[in-house]
Amino acid sequence: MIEINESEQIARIVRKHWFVLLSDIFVLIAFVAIPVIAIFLFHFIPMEKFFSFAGSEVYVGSFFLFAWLLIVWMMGWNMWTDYYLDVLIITDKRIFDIDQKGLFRRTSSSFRIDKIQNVTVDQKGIIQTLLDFGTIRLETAGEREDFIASYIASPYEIKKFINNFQDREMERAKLVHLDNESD
Amino acid sequence: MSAQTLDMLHLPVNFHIPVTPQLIFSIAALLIAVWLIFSTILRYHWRNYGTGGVQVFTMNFFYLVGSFTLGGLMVISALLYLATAQ
Repeated sequence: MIEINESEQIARIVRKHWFVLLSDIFVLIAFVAIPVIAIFLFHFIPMEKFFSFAGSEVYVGSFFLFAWLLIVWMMGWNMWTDYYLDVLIITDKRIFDIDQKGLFRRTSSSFRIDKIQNVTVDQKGIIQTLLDFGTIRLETAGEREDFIASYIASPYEIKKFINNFQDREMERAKLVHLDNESD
Repeated sequence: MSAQTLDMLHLPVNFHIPVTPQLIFSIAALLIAVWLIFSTILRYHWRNYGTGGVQVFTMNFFYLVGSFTLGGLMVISALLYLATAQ
């Protein structure tokens, strides 16, 4: 699993909005359409000049069609994995931002939830407003750079969740501190 | 523009590929090898970096069902091509 301590409890897992998958879906549809276009174009190309078939042309055609669809199938799952593993995990102690780029590039950063000083939500344009997604910027104490997560679904709800969660955790920390002092 | 029209253009044809069953099975073997490597890497990522057991199980199920269906149809087509080869 992800590098979370056993003592930590996952409070919420946040993913990007499905809208970011749309461009990938269009690419896949275009790739699926390529054999249809190819079949149409083959009517204009004298195939027998370039290829000689030992068996039925129908079966060789279906072979290449399914081979192509298998390649597109793998591409689709690669795109899905890229989306699925790109995640923001909120635990009771920290926030993890995991950025997956393809299968061989992965960045994981985390910071303590009590270090958050400000949560900013940025929604730009009509699409982000209507579909309710945007960028969440988390400002932390210290010299660290701000934490930015783009295309997050329901960003205002996430902001509210982080604020409430942070308040609750700080209250609990105070109570533990007071308990220790009274002992 | 039809095949005949293209023929009349007298375009120089510099290659001719005999599509033998051996060629088809070589392509199938290459694709299956690529699929095996890809699946190993993909499922490694899901197992190690996925965020839920049920989600990973569902993804594995759909991925394998789709892959076996397409791979199976590809191999069946190759076998039928072999059967019809002279």
